[in-house]
Amino acid sequence: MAAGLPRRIIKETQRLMAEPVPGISAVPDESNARYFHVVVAGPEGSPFQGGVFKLELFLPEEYPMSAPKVRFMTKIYHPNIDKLGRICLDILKDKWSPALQIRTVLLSIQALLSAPNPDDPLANDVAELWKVNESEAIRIAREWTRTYAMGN
Amino acid sequence: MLRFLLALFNGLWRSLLAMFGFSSSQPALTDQIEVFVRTNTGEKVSVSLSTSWNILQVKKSLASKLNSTVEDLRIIFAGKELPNDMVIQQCDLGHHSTLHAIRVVAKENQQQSSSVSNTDTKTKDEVKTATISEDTVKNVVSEMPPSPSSKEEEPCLVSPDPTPGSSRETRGTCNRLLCDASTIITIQMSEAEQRKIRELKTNDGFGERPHFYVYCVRPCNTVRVGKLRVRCSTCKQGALTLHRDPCNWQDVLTPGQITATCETLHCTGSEAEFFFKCRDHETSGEDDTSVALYLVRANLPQVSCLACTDISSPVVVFECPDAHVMCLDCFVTFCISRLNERQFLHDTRIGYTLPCPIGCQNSLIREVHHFKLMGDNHYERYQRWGTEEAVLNAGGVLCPYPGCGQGIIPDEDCRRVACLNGCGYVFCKLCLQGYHIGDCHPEDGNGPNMVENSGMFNVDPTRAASSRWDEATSLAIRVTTKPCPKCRTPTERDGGCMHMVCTRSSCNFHWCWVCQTEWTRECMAAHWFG
Repeated sequence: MAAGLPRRIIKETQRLMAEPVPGISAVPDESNARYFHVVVAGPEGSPFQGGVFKLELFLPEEYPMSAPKVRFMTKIYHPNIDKLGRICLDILKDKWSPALQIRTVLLSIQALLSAPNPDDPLANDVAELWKVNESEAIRIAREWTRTYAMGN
Repeated sequence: MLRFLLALFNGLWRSLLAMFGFSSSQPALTDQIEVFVRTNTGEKVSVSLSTSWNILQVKKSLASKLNSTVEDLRIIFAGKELPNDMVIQQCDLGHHSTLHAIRVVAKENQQQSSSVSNTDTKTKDEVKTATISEDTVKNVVSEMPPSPSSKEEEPCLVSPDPTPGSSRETRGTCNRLLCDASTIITIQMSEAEQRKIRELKTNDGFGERPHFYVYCVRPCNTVRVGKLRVRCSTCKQGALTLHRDPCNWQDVLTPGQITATCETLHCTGSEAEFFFKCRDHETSGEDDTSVALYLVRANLPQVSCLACTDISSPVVVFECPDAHVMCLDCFVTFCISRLNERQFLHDTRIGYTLPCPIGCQNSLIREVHHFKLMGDNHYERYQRWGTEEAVLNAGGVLCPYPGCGQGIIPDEDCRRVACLNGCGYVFCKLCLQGYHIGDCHPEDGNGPNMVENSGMFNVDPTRAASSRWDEATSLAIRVTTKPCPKCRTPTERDGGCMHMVCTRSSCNFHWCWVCQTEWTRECMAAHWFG
């Protein structure tokens, strides 16, 4: 581990490795212990099922006083995730609290895949379709999952 | 055999003392300390004592100096009359502390009330002093009047001592001392917490000792272990005896909660006034007091910090129902990061403050001295911003002239504001630009250099010449920021979407970077990402 890394980050990392969250893997980068390579499996019963989604997670200098920065690297058709992979999740913004952890953030993202919330959208066109024609939206989400999240 | 038993008893006694935090908590380098003794008639003498002495020995050494007899002296310290058999070490007495000696003749009226509880001490005194030096104590029969506190009913429904098997009940006339661990625990914790601590204690030894903590401004300039003291609220002298023990923070922090008998001649005071002293430096006098940081406690139940998850002591315990715990380091980082983002809240009663980091209801920090822990520079910034926030919340404005920032409460019906006690700049209350006649034009920017033609520009030319850098800053602010449509705080957009949330926590207005009005669904549809 890098020198000067807060004990909390070390502890969280150790726990993530020892008891990983089912369906999620988070591995720190070899050269930067604050940067995590995250892989989330699309939850069963959702249009993302069968997909493997890559994310990047970065713990800023102020962590845990400020929230981790998380972004989807794999393209995803989801009303709360925009085309750059940015995620609309309250705990990543104003609802962040230092008592939350990497683990809780990842669980929340997994839950967001199971239950998209088109009323608090980040990707507007996606949200619109999700509200107007849900079955079509889900069809596109499945298609994107096949195209972008099942390749390797 | 007898010697062995004695040694055993001695060892037991020491461990009992350690358990109550008497022995090693005090930075006593030698067992000789110099204390001041003040009498109720105004005399003040300095005496050198050994911390192993008992009060009877102190009285003996004082009697000649004060021209009195041992029987006529009563020793009062921290709101309690000290019984003859008490050893100095138990009393939390530091170098240059002040003891109070009362000549009994001064207040005759208390003599008759002693009976039952006193006989106990008397016999004990005789026995104990006799074993120390038989020849000197022959005619010393302690005729100690009881402290008034012994006659009062214990008002708190907590057991007087949290640790079973204490030596306290043998002490007779004196209740708990202010320095006793039991006093500290009673004040700091609810009954449920005390019960929990008692369980922990019986399970795994002694662990941490409870303490009060203070912010010592001078000379330590940091958080320190504190000593609780009491004085008369009228004459400010310590020669008073409490009618009951304090049992919560309200008793200690709110004046007039506890009545007392003041022994100073001609003083009619009847209320106790509590205060704190820093334990880490030698006291420089009676005014050398410190503010209690009542959220800071010794981490007796070994709770881990909610941010770093380490277990350390002392910790900050927030006032929310869950009593969330943060270590001091994380508390400081938390405060600084909230300050940097200007996320402190303005509360009309408390001032500029923060809630528990989880955001629990009713958890605002009520004693703002806790923010002193951030260090001088941050605290100064905290004070400045707190003042600004108070001005803004009172309907005031801050002078927009670069480098000025004077807080002004303008007349309600007048748009023209002059920075009278500051830089002299005259500006419009609504748009914070130089004062102008007619409607405001927000797109003109907010630098004073933009309104030179208004005719109302009123700045000292030398000041203007010396503020080129400020002008450059002002230009930069104008170019890179837009004002919040509600409170006009200059706001920089450093990326992301057009949905802005005002950075001033007391404003929190949601607005659109493009329209510069409140954020709407239409903004979302038309130009969310530009």
